[in-house]
Amino acid sequence: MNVEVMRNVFARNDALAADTRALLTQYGIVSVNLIGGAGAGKTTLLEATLPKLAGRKRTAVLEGDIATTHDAERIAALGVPAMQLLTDGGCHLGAALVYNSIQKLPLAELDLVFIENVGNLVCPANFDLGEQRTVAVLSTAEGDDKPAKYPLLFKRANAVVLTKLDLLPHVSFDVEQCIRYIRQLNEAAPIFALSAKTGDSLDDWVTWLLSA
Amino acid sequence: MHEFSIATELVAAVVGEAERHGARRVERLECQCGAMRQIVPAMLIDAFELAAVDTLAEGAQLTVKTVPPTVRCRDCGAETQPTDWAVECPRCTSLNIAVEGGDELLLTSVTLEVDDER
Repeated sequence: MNVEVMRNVFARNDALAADTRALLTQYGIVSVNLIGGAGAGKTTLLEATLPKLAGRKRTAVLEGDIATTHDAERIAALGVPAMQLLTDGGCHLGAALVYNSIQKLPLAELDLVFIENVGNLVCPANFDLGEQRTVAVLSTAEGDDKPAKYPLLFKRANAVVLTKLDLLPHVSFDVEQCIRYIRQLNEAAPIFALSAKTGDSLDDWVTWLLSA
Repeated sequence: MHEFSIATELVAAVVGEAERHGARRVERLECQCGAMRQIVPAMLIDAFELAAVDTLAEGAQLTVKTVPPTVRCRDCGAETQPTDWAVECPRCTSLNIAVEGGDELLLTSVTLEVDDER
């Protein structure tokens, strides 16, 4: 028996992601999935961003990692509720883990939930977690051609954050060239070039989050 | 090696189809992968074989078809479908291109073994 189908391979994941999205929408929560390579500065970006949102948005962070609770501890030190999601070697977060975890958050008391994905430019790009905004995080230390090498993430992203701008004098990263590669894939996403370490140029990114 | 994660989802999708039709097992399946998914067909086939063990899809034969994206050049206007993921217009080598499609990942055909085939 031959069956012609046209079925999304990620149907199982995407159904759970839709449940997460519906639940968050019900509570008026916006969630942001941060995807970037290991060491791109995702946690440092959150450390710089969360204090700027304080008093304006009630935030929480789901910290995806392969191992250790280091990142959740860094966020908790800011007084922001943080939950560590460990994949035990898994290279990305899936919708099921996020769906189960998000229900443990005090949803009625939150406006903005960040989901920091496992450091990886490839696998997480395939998995919808039920977020409202997907953000690609790329550091100047990684190279300006990364959007060309990992197109799926940059095509899917609703915004791109270029981090570690303070390293520009020390690395061969051409910001214009990087933006050109991003625009091949994605004409609409705003691109925020900033330094989370020095706090330079964070304002546009924070404004975007406030209006998300 | 994101092929294994994708293989696991593919097994779930095809087993879902098999159960929906009350099949005894899956014989063959075909999927379309956009080039932007950066899937190595041979690796996906190997990963699928492992992921399918102890399911209705164990031993099923997987065929992977890679679908190229459409590259539209904003400078010379050429529209091409390069089989490999490219960052420049194959005609005029401009980097000022727009890449459309090539991100699909679909299960397109399943051959099932059912008990009472009429």
